[in-house]
Parts: sequence; structure tokens; C-alpha cells
Amino acid sequence: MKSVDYRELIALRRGGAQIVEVLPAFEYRTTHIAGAIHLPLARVIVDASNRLASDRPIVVYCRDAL
Amino acid sequence: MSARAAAQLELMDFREVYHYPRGKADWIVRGLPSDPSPSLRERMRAFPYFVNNLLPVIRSGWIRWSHRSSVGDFIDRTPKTLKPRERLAREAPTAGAPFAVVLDDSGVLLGAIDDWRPDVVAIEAMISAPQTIRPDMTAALAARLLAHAPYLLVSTALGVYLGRYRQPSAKGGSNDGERPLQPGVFDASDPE
Repeated sequence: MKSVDYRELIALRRGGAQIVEVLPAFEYRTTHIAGAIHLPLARVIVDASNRLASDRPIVVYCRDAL
Repeated sequence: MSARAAAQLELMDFREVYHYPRGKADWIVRGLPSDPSPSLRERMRAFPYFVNNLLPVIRSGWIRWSHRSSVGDFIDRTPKTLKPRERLAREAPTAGAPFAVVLDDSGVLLGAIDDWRPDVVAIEAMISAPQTIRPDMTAALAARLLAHAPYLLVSTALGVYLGRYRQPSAKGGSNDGERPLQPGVFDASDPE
């Protein structure tokens, strides 16, 4: 997997990438990157096939690098 | 956390997967489009993480300067490591939970096995969201987190597995038990 910074993320977002937040629901509800899909970490393996398109790039994020 | 999710997606054959390690804190502080627009409080909360993202040396330097023990001093490599498609052996390892951890080819942590089910493939037997911490977290903060979790796994910001956090004994190891925690900047309620 490749790490991206915010500039690359902006470009990917403009290009139609799927942006995925993997934090718990309350974090997502508080605020998220505009247009991001909510897919909590515990649900990725279970739900990704149904919720994400395999023919478009995906960018995954959480809160920070800590 | 996001590195783990990205590794899981790659394992599921999603071909073009990226990881934004600086995350939402970076995005919010830069004022980029968010939904809903974050409150001032949210921006303030994100700011210490933003700073640490840019200059992690501040936090690690503070830990060294104040002679605190860090999680990196107490890492235990006991849990068995498995590949995602590997089948669990008939006999469970004798060590306690997690019985094993599941890593991809790059050593990124995918999940942990708490319930040993013989002959089941590791990726089907694992829980995918065990709590992880970073090696430069103070041991005192890790001990507080451990009060609310069965175990803590240690990984880098890029998701690479380092081991299980082994709590120092009461007699020695960490000097943090003798000091109050520094308040504030990195909140105990904000593990990965």
C-alpha cells in the first residue's frame, strides 16, 4: 500500500477515489472528510466487498499517525 | 489503524489502495472540506495530533527528557505469528490471548486470534480490530489503557507489528508509576 499526504489525497478525491474512514461511528458523525464512506475497522473484511467498488482507487484514513 | 484497514483491503484483492497516515487531524487543521464542518473545539482537539504528525520528535524527545519509560521498552514477542491463509494447528499455543497475530507479507498487523479454532484459516478466525498502540507511548498511559482491554498490541504508524505490550512488574521497569501523568496533550482516551 502507498501512503499519501493531503495534496495527493485531494488529487485522488477529485479523480473519483473512494475515501474511507475506519474510525468508530461517533467519530465519523462528529466530522469526516467530505464525501467519505464510513467503514469501521472491525467491519472492513465483512462489508468492503458490498460497499466499495473494486475498480476505483480507495484511500483509507483514521484520526492521525499516533 | 488505517494501515491495517488498507492491508485488509489489499488482501481482499482491491488493487489500488492508499493510506493517509496523517488522517483526519491533518485534514481538519488544514481547513479542507469536511462534513459537517468541524467546530472550533474539534479543530483545537486535532491540533496536538497535527503537530505530532509533523514533528513526532517532540513527543519522543519529551519522553526521553523526562526519563519516562515507553512502550518500546516492554515489548513481548511471544504471540505466534501466522500468515492470513495459514490454518490453525490442532493444538492451541499455551500462551494466553492473543494466541496468535496475523501479519501480511510486509509484516503489517491484520488481526489477532483470541479464539483458537483448529483447522480454520487464520483470516477467518481472527478479530480484525484488536487495540494497538505505538512504541513511543508512555508506559504509564499504556497501563491505563490496559485496564480496559485484554491486551495491547504494538505497531508502527505504518501498521507494522512489533509485539505485545508487556506490562512492567510493580517492582521495577517503569518509573512512571511514581509520577503523575502529564495532563493534556495526548489524551488517554485517544488510542488508535
